[in-house]
Amino acid sequence: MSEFADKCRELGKARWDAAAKIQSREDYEKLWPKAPKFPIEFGKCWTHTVEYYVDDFLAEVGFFIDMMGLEANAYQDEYVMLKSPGNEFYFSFWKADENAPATLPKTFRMLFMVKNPVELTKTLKERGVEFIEEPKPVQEGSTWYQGKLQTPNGIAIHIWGDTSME
Amino acid sequence: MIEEYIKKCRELAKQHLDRADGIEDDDEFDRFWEKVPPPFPIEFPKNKDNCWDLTIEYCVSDFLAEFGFFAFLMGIDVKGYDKGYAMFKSPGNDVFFSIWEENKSSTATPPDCLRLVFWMKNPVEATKVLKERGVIFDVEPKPVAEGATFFQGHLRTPNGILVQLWGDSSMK
Repeated sequence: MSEFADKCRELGKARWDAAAKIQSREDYEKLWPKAPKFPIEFGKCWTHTVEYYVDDFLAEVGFFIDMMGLEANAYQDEYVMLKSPGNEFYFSFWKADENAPATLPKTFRMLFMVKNPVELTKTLKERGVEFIEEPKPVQEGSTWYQGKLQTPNGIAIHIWGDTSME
Repeated sequence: MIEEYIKKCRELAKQHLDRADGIEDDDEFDRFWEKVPPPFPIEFPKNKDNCWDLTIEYCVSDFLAEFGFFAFLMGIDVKGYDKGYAMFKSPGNDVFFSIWEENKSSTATPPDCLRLVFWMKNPVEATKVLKERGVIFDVEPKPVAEGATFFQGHLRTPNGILVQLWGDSSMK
């Protein structure tokens, strides 16, 4: 694994070094190393899911389904895969156990990009969601909003929004 | 986090899961879950070339190695980057995820508590291409039983994060 990691690091460094020199779109086209083709072909089913682990499984289920309004795409004992109604994304979580400990909150987070931050905040508050920071404009008059909340297991959810976005 | 809030979430889940137990028919399952949640309140931007819906972010100690792995071996596009941060996306905008470099306020995500699962229709070809690029598999994707079209395999990123490859070669 070490040689493999070394190889990956060299590849990453080459790209990062190029990034440091990029000042314009032209630079980007010229300097950004060409990436190989993504070899995976997705079907019409779900495409990918990121899975994490929680101690309080039921609380996480209730939060995402009954407060956030996500749908269960699949579930079994102590596992659930969630999806947005429009199938824009999928993610999953398991109940933690001795082999797979709970994902530490400071090591993992979710970031939503939305175009209705004001209505969203109102709806979630009415459902009982508690915000750490309510989404608000980053400066006076800005259409760009930022805020955050946490799942019952302490996973950070950042809400970014732009009310001018189509 | 207020305990009452957590308790409320737990109770809501329990009600539904108790009712859902025993549903075996797929259509019934879909109908049940379509009715359960309240309306999803988020409106996503339309132009995914310039934006994204949800990105899930994790933290790594060897940032450059993880970056090189996804950008150069997996061939995932770099959607955005900054010092110690990168967001990736698949060419068709099906997948978004991000990594950031361990720092004073965050520690690397322990490998055993996070994994990525890709679900594909070309497991044989994808495995071949990734091997040619130097990707090391823990278990190469192969049929779960003789003659099966359903494949499973897995590999790890340089930071040890498990990447599972699931595929069904009969899938359209």
